[in-house]
This record gives sequence, C-alpha cells and structure tokens, in this order.
Amino acid sequence: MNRTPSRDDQFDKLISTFFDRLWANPFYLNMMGSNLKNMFAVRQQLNKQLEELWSLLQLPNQQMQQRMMHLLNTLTSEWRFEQEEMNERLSAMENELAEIKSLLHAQNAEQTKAQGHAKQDVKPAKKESSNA
Amino acid sequence: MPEVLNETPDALAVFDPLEWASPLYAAQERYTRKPITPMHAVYTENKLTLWKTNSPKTSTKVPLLLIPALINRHYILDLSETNSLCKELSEKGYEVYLVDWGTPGAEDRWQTFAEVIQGPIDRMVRKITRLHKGQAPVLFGYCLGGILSMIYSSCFPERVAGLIAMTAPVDFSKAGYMALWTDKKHLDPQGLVAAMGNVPPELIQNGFVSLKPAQFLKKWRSAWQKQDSAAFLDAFFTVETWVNDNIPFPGNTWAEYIQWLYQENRLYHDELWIGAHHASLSKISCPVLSILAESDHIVPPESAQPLHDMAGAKDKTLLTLPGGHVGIIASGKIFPQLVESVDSWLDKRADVFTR
Repeated sequence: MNRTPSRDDQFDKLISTFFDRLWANPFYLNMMGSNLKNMFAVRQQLNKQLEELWSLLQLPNQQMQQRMMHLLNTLTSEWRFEQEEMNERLSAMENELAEIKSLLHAQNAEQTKAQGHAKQDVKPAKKESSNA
Repeated sequence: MPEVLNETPDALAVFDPLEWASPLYAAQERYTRKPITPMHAVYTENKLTLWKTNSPKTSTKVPLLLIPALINRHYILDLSETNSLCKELSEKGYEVYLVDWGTPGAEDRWQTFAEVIQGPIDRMVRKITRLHKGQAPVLFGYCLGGILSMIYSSCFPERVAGLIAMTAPVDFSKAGYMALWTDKKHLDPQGLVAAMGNVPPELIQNGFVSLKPAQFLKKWRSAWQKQDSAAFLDAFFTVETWVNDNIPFPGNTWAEYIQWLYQENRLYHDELWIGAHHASLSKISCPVLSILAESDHIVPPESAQPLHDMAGAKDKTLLTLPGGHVGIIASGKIFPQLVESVDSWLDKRADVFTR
C-alpha cells in the first residue's frame, strides 16, 4: 500500500537530494580536498618546528618516542606469545616424557617379574637333572 | 516517564545547557551500557584483549572467532539482551571468542595494516587453535573485521576452518561516496597521518553521518515521537551509544587501508601483498559464507558480493539479508534471521570443520 508522503518525508527527501548532489559535486570535492591538503601541510610544518626544538635540546622528539614505544609493544607481544607457546609445548613434552617413563618403568617391572618367575621355573629343573 | 529518562545526571550539576536544550539527547549522552554476556579474557597483548564467553561445558563444535571493525567498540557483537551475537551463538553450543581491539594510543600510529594481520590476528588464531588441541577456528568478521578475516584466510588458508564475512567490501570502486571521498585527487592518507598521527574518531564518525544526513534527523525525530516507550528508548540509546563510541584509527593502518584498498583496489585486482604473503582471495580454501545487507549505504551489496565470486573455496554461500549496515545486527527483526542462518550454515558443515 502506498503511503502519501508526509511533510517530514518531503523534508528528508529534500535534504538527501541536496547532500547527494553536494557530495558528488567535483567543484566541492576539489575545494575540500585542497583545503584538507593545506591544513595537513600547516600541521606538518608545525610538527616539524616542534621536532627541531626537541633536537635543539638534544632530546628524542615525539615521533621517535612513539616509534620506540610501538617497537617495544610489538616485540613484547611477540616475545610473550612465543614464550607462552614454548612453555606450553615444553609442559606437553614433559607430560609425554613422564608417560613414556612410567610406561617403561611398568615394562621393566614386568620384565624383572617375568625373569624372576623364569629363574624359579629353572631351579626345580636343575634339581630334577641332578637327581637323574 | 520511562526509566531511561529518569536517571538524574549529577546532583552537583545545577545547570546543564544540554539537559535544558534537549533532555532526550542529554539522556542518551548519560546512558551507560550494561555488559550482556559473561566473558573472561584468554589472551592480551598491547591494548588488545581476546574475550571468551563463559560456556557451561566444553563444546565439541568448532570455535568461533568474532572480529569487529578496528574503529568501533567490540560490543556491537554483544549489543543487548535481544541482539547479542556472542550470547546467541554461545547458547547454541559454540565456544565464542571476541576481539576487543582496545583504544589505540599515540604510539600505535606506527602500526601498519600488514602488522595487524601478521601480528595480533595470527597470534589469536594460533592461541585458539592451541586451546582447542589443533582445531582451527572459524573467523567471523564484521565490516572491516570481515576484510581482515578474508585477507588473513587468503594469507594463511591452512590456519582457518571457515570464513564468515559480514558486510565486508572487496570491490572498493563500488563503495559509493566513501570511494569518491577517498579518491587520490581529494585525499592524501599519508599526509593526514603525518599531520594528525592517529585518525581522530570524530573524522570517521562525521564521515558516516554525512553519508546519510537525513537519516540522522529521521532517527532523532522517531525517538522524539516514541520517547514514552521505555523499550524503544533502551534499544535506541544502546545503538546510539555504540555508534558514538568510536576509537581512533591507528594512523599507518588507516593510511595503508585507504591507499591499498580504496585508492588502488588491490584486493579486488588480486594485487594485495601482506609481507611475503600474496593475499589472493582465490587461495581461500575453507567454506565461505558472505553476508550482505540489502540497504547497506556504507558497504553497498555490489562491493561486498565479489568475495562470493572470487574466493577459491568450493563450498561458498551467499546470504542477503534485508536492512542496513548496522541494522543487520541491531534490528529486532533481522537479527534472529542472521543467527539462524549462521547457525544452520555452521551446523551443516560441522564434519568439515572438525575434520
């Protein structure tokens, strides 16, 4: 069902149409683009002046400090992760080793037990042969 | 008077011009969001935190890693009691991980786009895989998070079990006004970063509002008309709080994102390299679900659709839902459809994911 557009709808449509035309207008876009470029250039110049001031004082400037902080953050994150991963692998390997050791231990115990039984079996046979 | 409007701002504040001029707007400014899904941190680095929903028991289903955009707060994926992707998927038995990028500091302007993919995302994926004894997660990216997910999946296809990209553009030449405004002729991203460092949140926020100025008026008019409904105001304030709660975009990440993807359209032209890895969508081998929003004005459907055509996977699904970029997750009508579709897509491929 088609609804008759209200005054609000018409107002919204008007605003939309106006801005749709403005945002796509090459003259407006070029003007805003060059304004932005100029603003950035001024700000960059200001940043440069401040950096020079810091270097005059023989101190690391803001960019250097930020860069160093970022590098430290990156390295710490990588190092912590790798360390955690290595620790987990180590503990997994230790667990595996402990399992293997306990298995070997059990096997050895069984073997010595079996050998003990075998000796016991051999002894009466010797007696029998001496009797003979 | 609805409860949300009843909260007094501050006993000491004698006169608040905003309160006097627009009590509704002032109430929205005062609104504080309550956390929805109980979660705990499983991994942290720098400002980033990887949250995991408190699942009642260990799940046998594939783990999900939800990646939101870098510019917005992570709680869009855990928005409200009725619209929380984390809560819904967790209740369906998935172990859900959510990335909280945190607020970048001034030093994070040096973080590059490639570093985000090869650093935090890779580490989070490896961490989840380790927690799940070798089971790779399914990546679920929203908006810019979707772009990061698909780039990661094409660089490291063996580390991902599946990919869900929601409203994530691939062909940036069809990104509407955003493509026009970020054109090389009008915008120098490196210049902006050299001047400002991180990109201020206001700049990005104003950009989004300018895409549809009439919508801004429309939503506030609608709120004014429905201000007697507490439920409406609560939902409205929740979304508005998230929309206005933007964080600075790390400078170099933004500059490379704009230059590589918007200005040079490298992902679409198969020319994107992340370090030594060629981020070619044809290398994605896991099942892919592309979710588009029909009336999305930030990421038009035609700019997001190419993922479905270009991904190298044999199992590809394209899902188009009604609604806009935020509506897809914040709307009471569309959100249940989204959850059902995602759950059934994941469910049908359970054997493939856990193989």
